[in-house]
Amino acid sequence: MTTIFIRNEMKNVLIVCAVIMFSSLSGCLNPDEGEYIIIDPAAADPCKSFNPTIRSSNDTLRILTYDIYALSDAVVSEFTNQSGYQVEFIRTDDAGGILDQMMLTKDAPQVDMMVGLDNSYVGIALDNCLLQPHQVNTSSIDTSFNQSDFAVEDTLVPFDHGYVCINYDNQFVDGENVSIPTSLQNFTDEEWKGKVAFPSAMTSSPGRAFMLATTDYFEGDSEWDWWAAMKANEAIFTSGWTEAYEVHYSGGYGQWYDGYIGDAHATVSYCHSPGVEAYFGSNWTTSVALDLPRASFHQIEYAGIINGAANVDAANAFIEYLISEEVNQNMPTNNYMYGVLQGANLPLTDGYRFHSTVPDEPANLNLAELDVESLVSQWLNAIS
Amino acid sequence: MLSKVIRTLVISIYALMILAPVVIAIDRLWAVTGVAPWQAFGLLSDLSVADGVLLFTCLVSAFASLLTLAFGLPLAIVLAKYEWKNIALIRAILVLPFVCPAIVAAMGFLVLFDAGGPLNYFGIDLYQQSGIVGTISASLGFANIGHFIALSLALCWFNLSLVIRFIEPTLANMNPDWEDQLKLLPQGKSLYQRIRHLYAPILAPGIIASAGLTFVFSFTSFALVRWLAPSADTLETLMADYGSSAGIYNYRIMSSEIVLACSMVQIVILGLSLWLVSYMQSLHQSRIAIVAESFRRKQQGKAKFGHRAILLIGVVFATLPLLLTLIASFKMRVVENGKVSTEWTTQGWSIAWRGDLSYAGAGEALGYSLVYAALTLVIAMPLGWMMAATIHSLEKEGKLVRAKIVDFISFAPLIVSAVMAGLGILLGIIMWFPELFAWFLLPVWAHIMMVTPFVVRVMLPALRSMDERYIEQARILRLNQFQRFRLITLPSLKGPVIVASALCLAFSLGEFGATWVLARTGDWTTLSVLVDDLMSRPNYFPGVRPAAMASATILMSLTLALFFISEKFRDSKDSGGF
Repeated sequence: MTTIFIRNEMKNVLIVCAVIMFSSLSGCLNPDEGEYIIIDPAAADPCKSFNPTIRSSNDTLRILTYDIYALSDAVVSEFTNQSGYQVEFIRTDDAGGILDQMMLTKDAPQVDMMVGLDNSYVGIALDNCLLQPHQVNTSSIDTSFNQSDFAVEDTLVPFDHGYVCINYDNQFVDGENVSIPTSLQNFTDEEWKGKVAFPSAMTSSPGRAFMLATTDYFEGDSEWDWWAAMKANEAIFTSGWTEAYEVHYSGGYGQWYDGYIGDAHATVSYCHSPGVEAYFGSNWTTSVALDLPRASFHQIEYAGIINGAANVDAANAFIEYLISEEVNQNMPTNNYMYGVLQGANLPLTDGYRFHSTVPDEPANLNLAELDVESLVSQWLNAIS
Repeated sequence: MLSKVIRTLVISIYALMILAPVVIAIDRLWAVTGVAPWQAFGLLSDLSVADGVLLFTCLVSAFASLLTLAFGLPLAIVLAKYEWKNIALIRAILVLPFVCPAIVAAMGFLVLFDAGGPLNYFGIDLYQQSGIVGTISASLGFANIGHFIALSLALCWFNLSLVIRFIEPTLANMNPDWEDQLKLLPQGKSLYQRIRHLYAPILAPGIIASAGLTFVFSFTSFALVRWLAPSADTLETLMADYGSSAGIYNYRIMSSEIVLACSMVQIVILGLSLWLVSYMQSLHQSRIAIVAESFRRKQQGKAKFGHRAILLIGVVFATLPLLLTLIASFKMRVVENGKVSTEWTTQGWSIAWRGDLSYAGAGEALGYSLVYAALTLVIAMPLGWMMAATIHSLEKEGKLVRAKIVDFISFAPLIVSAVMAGLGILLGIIMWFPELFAWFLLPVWAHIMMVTPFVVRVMLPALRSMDERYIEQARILRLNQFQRFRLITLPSLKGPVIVASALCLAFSLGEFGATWVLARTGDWTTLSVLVDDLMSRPNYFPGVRPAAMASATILMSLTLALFFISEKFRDSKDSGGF
C-alpha cells in the first residue's frame, strides 16, 4: 500500500523535495564552485580577490551590533538629525554574535557596519576580509590605542575599552577566614572549591578574554593544567557572562536577579564592574577586582565598515559620531565601559572610579598573531 | 472530495513551507561538519559542552510528565464525577495555561519562586536552596535541584490541560453503573481490582497520550528553561546558545556539530514520542466511542469537601502565576539607606510602553506581534484546513495508509523544536536568499511552521464529524462548489474554525523560541521577545522587572481573550484536541 501511495500521490511531492535537497547539497559539497570563497592568507593581499555582493540599499544605514546601551534611541535620533541618515540596528547577543552574523552573510553582506567586535574576535574578521578601510578622522582618540595589537589604522576604530579580570566578594574574602588570592593558583585550593564561576571562552566575550589572559599569566606553559585543576575544584562553568555574574556571583547585583543562586564568590567580569556596582548602589559594593600581574585582559571594542557595505558614507559618518565627544564621553554611564578619547576616565560619582581598578600589568598578548580559536579548543579540552 | 491534483499541491506546499527549511538546514550542517545526520547521534557523547544535557532534558521532561499526571488526574476525576456550577468556566480556567505564552508563564513562576514570593513564605527556597530544598539537594547530591523542581512545576502547570482534556470527557461519559456492576463480581471487589479491570483499560490510552504530549512539549521547552533553570541546559537551550555560529563553512565547526547532533536526537526522540501519542490517541478515540454509546452523564451527586479542595487547589494553581505577573507589574523595588522596600506604582507600565529600558516600547512590539499573528492566521489557517481536508478525503476514499502517512507529515513540525524552526529559517532560507536577512516579515514563516500542525489537529476531527448528507443534498440541488462551501461547509465548521483561528493567533502571539533566534537578524521585536529583552537588562534598574511584567501582562491579556473566545465555540464533546 505504501509503495502504491508513494508511486501515485506523493510522487510529485517527493520530486519537489528532492530537487531542493539535491540542489542545496550540490552547492554545499562544492564550496569552491558555489557561494564560498576560501581566503588564502598566504597571498600578498588575500582580500583583493574577495568581492562580496553588495546589497541593494534603500539608503538606511544598517548597523550590526549587540546590546550596546550607549546606542539609545536618543543618541541615534541625534545622529539622524545631524547627518540625515536613517539607521536600522541588527542586534545579536554579544561580540561573538556579531562575528557569527558577519561570517554567515560574508559573501552577500546585509549590513553596512559593525559596532562592538572586540580585539579577541577582530583577528578572525580581518583574516576573512570582512572589513574595509574607513575614512574616519581618529585624531581625537587616545594615542595609546596606536600601540594595541590592532592599532588605529585603516579598518578599525576603537570606541570603548575596559579590563577583564577576576572579581571577588569581600564578604567571603574577609582577609581572616579567607585571604585575598595572591595567585591564580590559590583558586585551586579547597576554600575555593565550587566557589568560582567562569563564563565560557567559547560563547562569552569576557570568558574568552580571561582565558587569553591566563595564557600569558602561565606563560603558555601550564595554563591548561590550571584550567583542568579549576574544573577538578568544581568551578562553575556557564555559557554566558550573565549566568556567571547574575545567577552565581554573590558579590554583584545578582541578588536582584530572578533565579539568583549566589554560590560563587569569585567570577570573571570587568575590573571596573565593582565601580558600576557602586555607581548604581549609592557608593556601596562588596565586589572587588583582583589585580594580579598579567591575569587581566585589556579588551578594546571596535567599530568598522563591512567589506561589501552599501552605505559606506553613512557608515563613516556614524563612526565619526561614535567617537565624537558628545557620544563617547558618556560611555562609562551609558555603556559601562571607558571611553577612548584623550583624557577619558570614569566619573567620580558614587564611587564609580574609586571602586574601579586599572590593572598595573595586564596580559601582554600579540593578538594579531595568536590563533584564538585554537586556544578556545584547547581550553575546552582542558575543562572537559 | 479533493482531487488528486489539489491534494498533491497541498502536500507539496506544506512540505515546502513547513519542512523544507529544516531539511535544508540539516543538509547544510551535514555539509559543514562532514557528519551525516544518521551519524550525528554519536557526536553528542563526544562533545564536552553537551555533557549531561540529554540526560537532564529527558529527566526533567519525564519528571514533568509524571508530575502533570499526579496533578491532572485528580482534577480530571473530580471534574468528571461530580456536579459543578459553571463547569465550562472551571474547565476553561484549568486548561488556560496551555495557551498562555511560555514567556508569560516563566515570568509568573519567577514571581512565585521569588525571594519574597509565596513559596518562599512557606519556607520553600528553590533558588538559594536553603531549608528543605537544600536538605533534599544535599541528600540526593543533585546540585541546583531547586532549578529542576522549579522547571518541572512550571512544565506541569503548562501541560495540565492535556491530562484534563484527555481524561475528563472519558470519565464524565462513563456509565457509573459499570463500576457498581463490577463491584458485584469477584474481579471488582477492591478499588485496585476495579482500577485494573475497568478504569485502566479505558483511561490508559488517554493517560499515556497526555503524558507523551507533556513529554514532547517539555522536551522542546525554551523560555521556561531559559528563565527558570538558568544553571542548566537542555538540548533546546544548547542549540540556541550555539546556533548563531552554526552552518558556516570553516568556522566554529563544533557549533554546527552541536546543533546537528541536538536536532537529530530531538527529531528521533520526539518522533518516537509522537508516534506513541498518535497510536494512543487512536486507541483513546475508540475507547471514547465505546463509552459514549452509553452516554448518560450521571454525576455522583454533589462534591464533598475533599473534592472541592482538590478543584480549588487546581484553580489556584492554574491562575496564580498569571495573577502574580499582573501584581508584579505594579511593584517596584526601592532601596533607601540600604533598606529594601516595595513601592506600588504604575511606573513599570510607563517604562514598558515608552521603551525606556528597551530598544522598542510595548506599543511597537504589540504592533509587530499583531501583524505577525494576523499574517500567520491568513496563511496557516487555510493551509492547515486544506491539509486536514486532504487527510479526510483520503480516509473517505478508504486509503487509510496514505491518510496515516499524510497525517504523520502534518504532525512532523511538532518533532522539530521552535529553536530549530528558527535556525531552519536562518540557515535554510537566509543562506539561499540573503536579501531576506532583516526582512521584518521573516518571523511569520517560523510562526506558520509552528502553528499549522495545531490547525490540522483541530480541523481534522471536525471534518470527520461533519454530516456529509447535507453536502450530497446540496449537490442534488445543483449548488456549485463555492455555494456548497459557503452555505453548508462553513456554517457547519464555524465552531472549529473559530477555535483553530483563535489558537492560531494565540500561539503566534506567544511564540518565543523561533522568534528569539530570528530576532538576531532584524530590527524588530515582538511582545514575547520584549519581555525577554527587558528581563535581560541589568537589574540595577528597579524598573526592569515591573516593565517586563507589564509587557507580559499585555501579552497574557491578549492570548487569554482569544482563548476564552475559542472556548466559547469549542464542542463540549471535544476530547484530546488542543
